[in-house]
Formats: sequence, structure tokens, C-alpha cells
Amino acid sequence: MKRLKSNRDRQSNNSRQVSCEERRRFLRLGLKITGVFVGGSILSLVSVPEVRSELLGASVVGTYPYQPHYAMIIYKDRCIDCERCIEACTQTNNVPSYGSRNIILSRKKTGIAASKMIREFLPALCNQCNRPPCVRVCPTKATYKDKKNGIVMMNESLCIGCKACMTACPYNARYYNMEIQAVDKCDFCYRKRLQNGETNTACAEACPAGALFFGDLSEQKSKIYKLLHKPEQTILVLRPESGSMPNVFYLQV
Amino acid sequence: MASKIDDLEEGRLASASVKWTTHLLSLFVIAGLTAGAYATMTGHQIAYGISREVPWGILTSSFAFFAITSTGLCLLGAISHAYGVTPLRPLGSRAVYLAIVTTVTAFMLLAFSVESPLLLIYYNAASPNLTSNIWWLSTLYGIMSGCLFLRFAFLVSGSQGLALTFGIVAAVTAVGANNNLGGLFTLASDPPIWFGVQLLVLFLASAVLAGTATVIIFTVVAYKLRQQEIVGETHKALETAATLMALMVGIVLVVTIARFYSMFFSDTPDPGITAARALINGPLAVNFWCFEILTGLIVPLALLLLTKTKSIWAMTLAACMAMVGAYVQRFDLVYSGQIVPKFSGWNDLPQYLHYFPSGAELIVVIGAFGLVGFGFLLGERFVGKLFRLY
Repeated sequence: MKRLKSNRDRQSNNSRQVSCEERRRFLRLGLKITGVFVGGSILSLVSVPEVRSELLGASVVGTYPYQPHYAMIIYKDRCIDCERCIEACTQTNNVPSYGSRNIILSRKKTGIAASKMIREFLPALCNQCNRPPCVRVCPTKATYKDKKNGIVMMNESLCIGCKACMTACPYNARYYNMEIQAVDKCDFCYRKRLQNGETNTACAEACPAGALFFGDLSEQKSKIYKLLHKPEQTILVLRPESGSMPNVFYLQV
Repeated sequence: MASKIDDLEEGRLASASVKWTTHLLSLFVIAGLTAGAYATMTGHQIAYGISREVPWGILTSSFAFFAITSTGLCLLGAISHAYGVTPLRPLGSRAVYLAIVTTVTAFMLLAFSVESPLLLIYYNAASPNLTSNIWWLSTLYGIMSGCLFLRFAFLVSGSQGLALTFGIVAAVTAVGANNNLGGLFTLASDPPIWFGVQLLVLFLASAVLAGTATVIIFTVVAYKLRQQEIVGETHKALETAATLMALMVGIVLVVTIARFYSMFFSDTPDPGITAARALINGPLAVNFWCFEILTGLIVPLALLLLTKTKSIWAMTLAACMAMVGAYVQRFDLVYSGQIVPKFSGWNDLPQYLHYFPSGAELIVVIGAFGLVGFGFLLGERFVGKLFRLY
């Protein structure tokens, strides 16, 4: 009781100036912006005017309008290019050999010793954007943002194969599947796993390095929410200049 | 006005050479339809030169070419008939007919550009997405072609009032359709080479430019077929059309310069600049400088200004060159929007993605041009006298 009282006193004292909570929130936002800003420069696959990255980057974190709000965190330095995520996705979602729902990007970069070049790997998949350009351009609503969970889904029977979504997607995350005669894309394994009660995607489950982490951001107690909201955490997104507000985040450890 | 459609037949054109040319062009059309049907059955990724990274190729750009031309012709028909631009009236009926032919050609190309063309017709009505430019352009071009057919039918039957009404509706929908065709590129910010609402001016000016050039070319050919000299009102009409064309060439030239100027001297994000460089000094430089700028704009403008738009041969040559430039411009428009890899710098991707049309694509395009020629000759022969009545 006494302890509680002293806490309240402390809070009331702080409220005269700036409350502790407010200070923490401000600090968190600052770190978040800085993190994404840095990410914008590093991870946006093109060099982008810095201020632009900062603004767009800041807006992508902290907006979770869906219930559940599925998202994925990818640890940037953990991927070893074993391609088990691609294999798992192919098997789970019957992806044909000429297509892929997820890819691993790679490039050479300078290692710790400046003279040594090392290979950097980066898994990429549909970012299930909050503002998906593919959904806007589809003439028949064959691709749509699920109102409940926010996953960008495909209604294959409505697809006319105009491929406007493929040109509009900033992440090259779509391909035309000739077997189903429709454009195909990652749905976070919603049809094959999530709607059957499973809680993880095939790719995240298959990753031996724990590079992929899937979860629900609408749940503040979830691990993914805590990972994304650590004040010291640097958060990166792919191509922030597209303004699509992605839900796949890259963590710089 | 003619009471019977038989009265409109141009007997002079029932010559062996016209018939053989019509048959030859019909073979082109059959070849184009066969190649398109083959691609639809086997899959575009097998039959066409497109890929996951460059999903739109020469068929999409050819669709844009014919659709934009049909808009220009439709507008030309409307301003000559409905809005009292009397000097252009002798070209009005032919412009309406050619607008129908080019719209049908554009629809043929659209059908072979999408993987499931029948679903496009059905789901365009059953599941519309009002934020999609493709939905608006296919719907508005559909309405426009319907209005043009009705307009032409009323022109044939002599109902001027109804023809004018449908002409105006067709012109309004044509502008909307053209804007949405432009919007397909100008509202997509990835990459931002075509991003910017002001570019819709470019699309509208390009449409009128293509419309005037087409009507000049086909009117001159029609008179050549009849071995008739162009004199009097038709000559004046062609002069007016050539003046309008010169004005549009000027506008397109200014907007093109302004577009690149604003792109290089503003904060356009990098993929847009890289795509623009593909046109300036990259893989599309020959297309851009030789065909788009020199053949398509500067030489035609010089020809028209030097001859003060009086010379028929000069305006015909200028119109042909402008159409060649316009065709290449539409190709560059579509290709340059996809030429920069989305993950540039990763996976050892080249700076620019490669696309070259396959044999099937080229045959479909030849079939499309064949269809325009075939339609034109049929029109001149069977309703040719209508083009003299206005």
C-alpha cells in the first residue's frame, strides 16, 4: 500500500514537468525513427533521399489496424542461404518449379576486415503491405486485403491474368501460375496452415537459423510485438520510398 | 444522306489490286489471330518474350498505341461534326470509321495481352474495382466503341441528330478512357519515371496527334486508290488537320522536354532516374533519340512548318513519321516502366532488364496492323461514298 502510494506520488511529481511514460514514449519514437532511417539508407534497395526514407519509415511502425495483424520479422544477419524456407513454401503451397513465393537475395559486401568481401543474404517475400499497390490496380478485385487479418489474398477464380499487380508490386513478390491460371503470391500460409489452426508459417518453421519470426502484432504481449518495439532495436523495411507500409520487418542485430 | 447501304458502295474500288491487297491483309489478320490463340492456349510465358520481371511487352504497348489513336480519331470526328469546326468536316466520317477500326484492333490486342480474355469481359461487369485504371479504361473504351458503332450506323442511315449525340458521348468517354490509360502509368509510382498527373496532358496531346496523323495518311491513300486529286474542301480540311498536328507535335515536344527536365532536376527517387537514363543514354537511347524525338517530333514539325502545312506530300510524310515515332514512344513507355530491376544491386542483377518480343508477339502485332488496313479497305470499298457526304 505504501509502495503504491509512493509510486503515485512520484508520478504526480513527474506530471508537473514531463511524465516518465511520455519521456519513454518520446525516446522510443526517436529510436524507432532513427532505426528506420538508418534502415532506409541501408536496406532500401535503391538510394533514396534521406528525409523521404525517414518520414515513410516512421509511418510504417506502429500501425496495426487488423485483428490479428500478422507480420514477419526477419533477422537480417542470420540467413545462411540454405533455401529451406523456399523448399518448405514450395511443398506447402504447391509452388511450381518456374515460380516462387519467396526468394533469398544475395550480394557481396565488405566484411569487418575492409579487404575481405563477404556474402550477405536477405530473405524476401510478399510484405502484406498496409497500403498495397497491387490491390489498387487489380481490375476485378482478384487480389484483396483481407479485412480481418490484413493479409493480401488472391481469389484465383477472379484473376484475368492482366499482370498489373505484378508490375505494381515493389517487391517482385508475384508470379503467374499457369497451372491455376492466376497470379500466385505468399499469403503467410493462411490457406494451408493458419486457417487450420496452426500458428506459424512453413518458411519460418523450416528456417534452421531462426532468421524468420512470424506473429501477431495486434497482441501487445506477443513476442513479435516486443521484438519490434524494443527501444534499442533498429528496424528496417524494404523499399520504404514506395510508401506501401510493409508488414515484413528486418532487424539489424 | 444515303438511304440504302448499297448506295454507299464505291464501285471504282472493286479492282483486282484492291481485292488482292484486302485478301493479303486478311491473311495477316488470320496469322495474328492464330498466334494470339496459340499464346492463350500454351501460356504467355512460353509463347511471349515476357517474364516475371517484365510482364508487359509489345502487345501492351501496341494496345496503348491503337487505343490512343482511336481516342484521337474519335475526338477529331466529334470536333468536326459536333463542335462546328467546319474546315475539318470532310474528314469527320472517315475519322469515325477509322476510330471504330482502331478500337477493334486495340481490343484484339488487349485480348491477347491478358491470359484469360473471356474472364475479363465477365468479371469486368461482375466484380469491378473502381480504383483500377484497367477497369476504367476497358469499361470506357467499351462504351466508346458502342457509341462509335451507333454513331456510324446513324451516319449511314442519315439520322444526323442521333449520330451527333452518340458522337459527343463517345468523345467524352474517349477522353476518360485515354486518361485512365495514361493513369495506368502516371499513377503508378514504381518506378516513378511516368509518375505525375501532368503527364495526362501528354497522353491527350499524343491522342490528338495520332488521330490527325492517321486521318491524313488514310485520306491521302483513299484518294490515291480512287486516282483522284485532292482539291477544294478536302485539301483545306487536310491543311487544318496538319496545322492541328503541328500544334500537337509542339505540345508533345515541350511536355517531353519538361518531363525529363523536371525528372533530372527534382528529387525523383533513384529507380525513376535510372529508368530515364535508359532512354537518354541506355539501351533505349536509339529508340528515344532517333525514333521518338527525331523521326516522331522534330522532322515532322520541321516538314510541316517549312511547307506551312500546304503540301500534301509533306504532311503525309510528316504524319507517317509521327506515327512511327508514336509507336516507338508507346513501346518505350511500357518497357521503361519495367526496365529497372526491383531489387537492383542484389543477386548480381543487371542494371537493366532485357526484353525482346517473341515471334508470336510480332505476328500478333503484324495481324493488328493488317486488321487496320483490312478494315480501312473494306470501309473504302463498301461504304466509301459515305466519306464524301458530310
